[in-house]
Amino acid sequence: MLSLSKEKIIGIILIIIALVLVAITTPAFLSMHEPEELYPGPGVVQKKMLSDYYQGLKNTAGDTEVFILEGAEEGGTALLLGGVHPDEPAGFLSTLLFLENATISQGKMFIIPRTNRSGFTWNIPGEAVPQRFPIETEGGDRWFRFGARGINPIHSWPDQEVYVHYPSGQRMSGEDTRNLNRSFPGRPNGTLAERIAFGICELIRQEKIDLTIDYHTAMPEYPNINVIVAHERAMDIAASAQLEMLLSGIDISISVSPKNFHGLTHRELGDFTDTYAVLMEAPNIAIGRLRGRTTIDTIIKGQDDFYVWGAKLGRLFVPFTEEGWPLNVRLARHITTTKALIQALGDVNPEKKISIGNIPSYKELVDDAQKYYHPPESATQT
Amino acid sequence: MLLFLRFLNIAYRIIVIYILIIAIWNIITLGDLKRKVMTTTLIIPLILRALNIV
Repeated sequence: MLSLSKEKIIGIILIIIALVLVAITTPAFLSMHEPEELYPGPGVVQKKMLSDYYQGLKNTAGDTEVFILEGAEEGGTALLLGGVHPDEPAGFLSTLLFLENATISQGKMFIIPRTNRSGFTWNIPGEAVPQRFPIETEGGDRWFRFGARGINPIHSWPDQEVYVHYPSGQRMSGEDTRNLNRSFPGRPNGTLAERIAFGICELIRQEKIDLTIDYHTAMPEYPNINVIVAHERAMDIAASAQLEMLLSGIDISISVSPKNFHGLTHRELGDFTDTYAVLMEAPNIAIGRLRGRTTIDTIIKGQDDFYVWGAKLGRLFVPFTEEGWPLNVRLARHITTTKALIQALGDVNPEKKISIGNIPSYKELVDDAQKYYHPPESATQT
Repeated sequence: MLLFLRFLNIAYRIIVIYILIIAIWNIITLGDLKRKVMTTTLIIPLILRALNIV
């Protein structure tokens, strides 16, 4: 008969306890792989996958949906990139509102809501952020994912000790190996981030995209905020859009893409494709270093007492009061700037005009953006 | 480069599983209860990693 010592019996009990804890925590981690529902609106004429442009992404965590909206009249083409950093939900939701509401009468628009789809499947350990947040629509609550900045390590690991950007050779932090917005223009035999970046470049080249807009948000203590960052070839368009925004009473600055900071959309898409590459930033305290406890309200209301304190000490690059920077304001800024950029594209190049309809105004979005989310009940899941 | 990264990934997984086996062996054979409990807490993330959950 098998006889076990007391130490071994205790050891086996401890291992069983560990396995039980693993079993309890596993569903929470696996639930992150469930995507939120998208309801393409009346303007969507076709849905493709990024792997249709670069086969190397097929059956990988980097493959993602590409929605196409097309008008009857010929015109320009625009590409909207949401969720390059999935912990910046205003970017994903801006593309979502275009996807679910926009109609196009002239030109063509490509929308990728989850550009870094892998990044939506995890949170950064230690950040203590919610896995998802709800938006109350007229037909009930919808939930959306609060992901992580980089690609999920289970899809791309290990990181290089020092990330060497291709093709510039610029050296960056090792964790930027999984940062999609340090991986452009990408390469077919590179890391997952580089392959996704390459797929996006292929889409831009094959579809002859005139204007590419990449949505981001930044922490209030980061100087590059409430800004349009544009490749030097896109400066005319960006400056025209900025003027339009300022005339509408919306404060936004403009910055030319630094030539020696590589891997970002506004630099590499402009250098390696013919598109006008533009990136936008709005304030997001849920990724900030000064924030207190991070709750769903932190994401949606954008309010935090420590940031009010930080503003009083003069440590922030945006005004910050008790009202904070709500998600609706961030969305309104992104969507209004997008309209201004597309208008400017047509003004600068009349043959590249894109006419978009059914997009709410800045005030309508700030007051009640919830009205423009498709209600969950009446929709067809994609 | 892709092949090299795949090699690193496989090497990393082998190391994780190797550490996990040693940790489990320690939990069973160690006489000190404190060390047993500490090693048990360490294997939880290792199991999640080995199973490709995190």
